[in-house]
Amino acid sequence: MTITKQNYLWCLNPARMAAQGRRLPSPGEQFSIFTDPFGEAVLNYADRQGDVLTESSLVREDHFIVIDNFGSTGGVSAQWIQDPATNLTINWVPNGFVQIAIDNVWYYQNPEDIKSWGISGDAAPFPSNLETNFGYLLEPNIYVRPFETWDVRYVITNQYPNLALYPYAPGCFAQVYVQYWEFTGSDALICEQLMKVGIEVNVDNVEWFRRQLLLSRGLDTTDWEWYLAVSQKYWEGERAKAKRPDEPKLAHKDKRTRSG
Amino acid sequence: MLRRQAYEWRGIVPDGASPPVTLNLHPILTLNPVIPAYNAAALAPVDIFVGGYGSNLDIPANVTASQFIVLDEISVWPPEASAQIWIEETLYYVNPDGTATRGVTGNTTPFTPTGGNLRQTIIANPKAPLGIMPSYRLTDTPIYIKQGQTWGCYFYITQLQQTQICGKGTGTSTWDYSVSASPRPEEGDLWVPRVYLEFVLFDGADSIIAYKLMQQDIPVTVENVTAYKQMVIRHKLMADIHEKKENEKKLSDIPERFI
Repeated sequence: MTITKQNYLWCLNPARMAAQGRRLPSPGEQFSIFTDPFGEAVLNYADRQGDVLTESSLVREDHFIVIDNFGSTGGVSAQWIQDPATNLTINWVPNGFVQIAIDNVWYYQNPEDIKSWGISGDAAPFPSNLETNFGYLLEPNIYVRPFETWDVRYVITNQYPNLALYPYAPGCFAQVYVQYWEFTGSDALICEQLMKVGIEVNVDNVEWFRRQLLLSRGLDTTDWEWYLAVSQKYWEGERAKAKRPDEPKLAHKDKRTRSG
Repeated sequence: MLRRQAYEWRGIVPDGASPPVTLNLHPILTLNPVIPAYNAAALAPVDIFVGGYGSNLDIPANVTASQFIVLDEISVWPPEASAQIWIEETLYYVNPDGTATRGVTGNTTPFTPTGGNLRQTIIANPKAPLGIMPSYRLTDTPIYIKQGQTWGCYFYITQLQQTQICGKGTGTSTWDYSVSASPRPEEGDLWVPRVYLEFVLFDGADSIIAYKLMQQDIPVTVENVTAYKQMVIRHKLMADIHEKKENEKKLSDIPERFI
């Protein structure tokens, strides 16, 4: 029974991959930042240099995932620079896009209804800074339910320099960052119940629902009447909040308004 | 299903030998991509979906019978360019006298280049764009695009020879959109033409709810569609409970007897 905010940082370090004899992903080859053999997980497995996860991200039966935000390295043209002294490639932009996959469904599509590359690093930059636009904010969040598999897929659409003549200098040349909430145990079950009654799954609502369960101790919470009462209570709460515009907004609600 | 989608149009092609347009997914760029010459006369519009310039789609954007779109963000680059939304035969932005304008400019709602990985100092005098903040937001009054409607966005370069004041580096930078040329390494993406659109795509049952809300003059937002769904569930529970109680009452009215 935990609610944790997780984050995952992936990095493409071509120099280390070359040292390990691994090939770089081809431009236009969309791959998983979790399980495909490119790059490395930085934040969580610093000691496993050059490795990514070994298992696909299947949400276990007592887990529930809410993907909150992501970003990747920005830039369009390659802006390739080699060091004249060493011939090493010291600057190169990946021109990458992030796409989310849940089971066999791609989240981002073109206006003509076919799968797109996803969100560019210019739209959702990582790291972000004050000079870049606010760009893309994921709203509403993406829910990944038990037994679903989710994936963050990245594609590089700039060609590489001639690697034999201009190998890469050490360092990250592309990064992808994802943050999400992980609900486990009874909290994951509460997420499922919230979804059934059409209430947004976020930390505040899960905690609120838990309080309702505690308050109704001894009553049969599988009754329709109980769910109606809970729905009614949530609706009244939302109405009361709407009447108090000066009330501070909940941390996880309305990201767009918050950033504006 | 509710999904926040984004579409980014770019006026850049893989190399000098490429045609000025690429279809469907963004192309694989070479180390020397090219900003193609803006063939349309200055001030003439180019459709970002099917205009034959930059990254295009096969067909214009069309909302299917089970979709509803709420377009709530538009950004443009460079500063001396503008974008105009169209739906069917209507242009969105108009002058106070009712005549059509060229929309919003990059100075008003910039899609500023990030500068990518340009972290090395080996290049002399690298230039980065001025940190312009958006002074226009569509979020408060988004554009609804209903089932069956066709829509798009026109891009205009309001001046073919442009000068941009740089936020970093010295002085200004200039570009001539009447000729094809590769971006200069010290400027990164400073002159790559771009339009960025962001919208919420309501699909399936959610699109029906979105349409229902629009008919009732309720703003179509993620929050309102979710609230409507909650209301439907709540009312269904009420109806079911009422039915259950009625059935119980009917059963209690039947006299008990031995069989």
